[in-house]
Amino acid sequence: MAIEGFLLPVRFYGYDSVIYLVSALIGLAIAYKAYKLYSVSEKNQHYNLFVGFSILAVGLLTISLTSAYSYLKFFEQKELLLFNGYFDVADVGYWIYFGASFLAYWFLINMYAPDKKGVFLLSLPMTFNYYSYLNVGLFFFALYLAFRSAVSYFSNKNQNGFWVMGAFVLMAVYHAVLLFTPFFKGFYILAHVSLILSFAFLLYMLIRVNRE
Amino acid sequence: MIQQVKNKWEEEDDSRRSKIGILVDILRLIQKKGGVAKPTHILYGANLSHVRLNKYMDVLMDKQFVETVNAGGRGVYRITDKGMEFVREFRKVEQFSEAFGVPI
Repeated sequence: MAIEGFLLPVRFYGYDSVIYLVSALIGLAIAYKAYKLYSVSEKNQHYNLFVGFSILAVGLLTISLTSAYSYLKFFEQKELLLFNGYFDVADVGYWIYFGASFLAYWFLINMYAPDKKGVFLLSLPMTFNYYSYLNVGLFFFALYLAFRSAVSYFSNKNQNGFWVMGAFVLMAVYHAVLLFTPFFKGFYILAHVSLILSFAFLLYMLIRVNRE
Repeated sequence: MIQQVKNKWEEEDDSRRSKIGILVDILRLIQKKGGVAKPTHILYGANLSHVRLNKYMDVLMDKQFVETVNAGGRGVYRITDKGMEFVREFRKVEQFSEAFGVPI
């Protein structure tokens, strides 16, 4: 979140919490639809889709609540330094979110690669399990999901598949751009725009599916 | 012998086409026929043996997705509103799964 490194001007504080919340709600809607799919098909791949998005939504919801709490406390105290007293809450939310994301992507990758060989290779970036580089691992995970959904889209040209591919590409962009926030504050905003666009794509796909 | 091969082929076909897929295929077939279809039309259209077809029709009847009606002194199957609703809902989840590239 923005406060950790005081990356952003104060006027931007809190907008990321809203983005996380909206993304979490869309993620829950996707998870619900995936559950309905699984209850019909009883296929493991659909179970992975359901669990993956459920966990991702819970992670996003957690970081949304903890970051919102931290922002509120910050504005309540009016003193930037006093915010440090609440740093732990945001920090816990941050770790839960990243842990949940890893787990969620793991399930989603298993949806595409049920034999798990690919998952093992993809888990290698996790060896860079250093605080600042968590996004590197998540970027590779999201990139793999983008690649698999792209293969699926280009093989059957399914319009709904295009939006899923776009969503995973934007998720990868989100994690990649976050890496560069220390160099330019605007990247933090750009990353979160990518995140909300990613879930907007999924929402649009969901609306299309339900409308047809 | 031929029957054994046929049964084996149908078993393989059933595993390839999920059971739920076969049930939906039958319902779609009845829909295509205008909502009412003779057992023989379903038999050939769904590519199932008589025994298997009866099994699937029993499931559909039990779920109240189809009902038997009398047409010209012969029993035919008619898709119910519940059956049509099921086909619509199935289409939605089918499209959802295809969007992720993991079909049912």
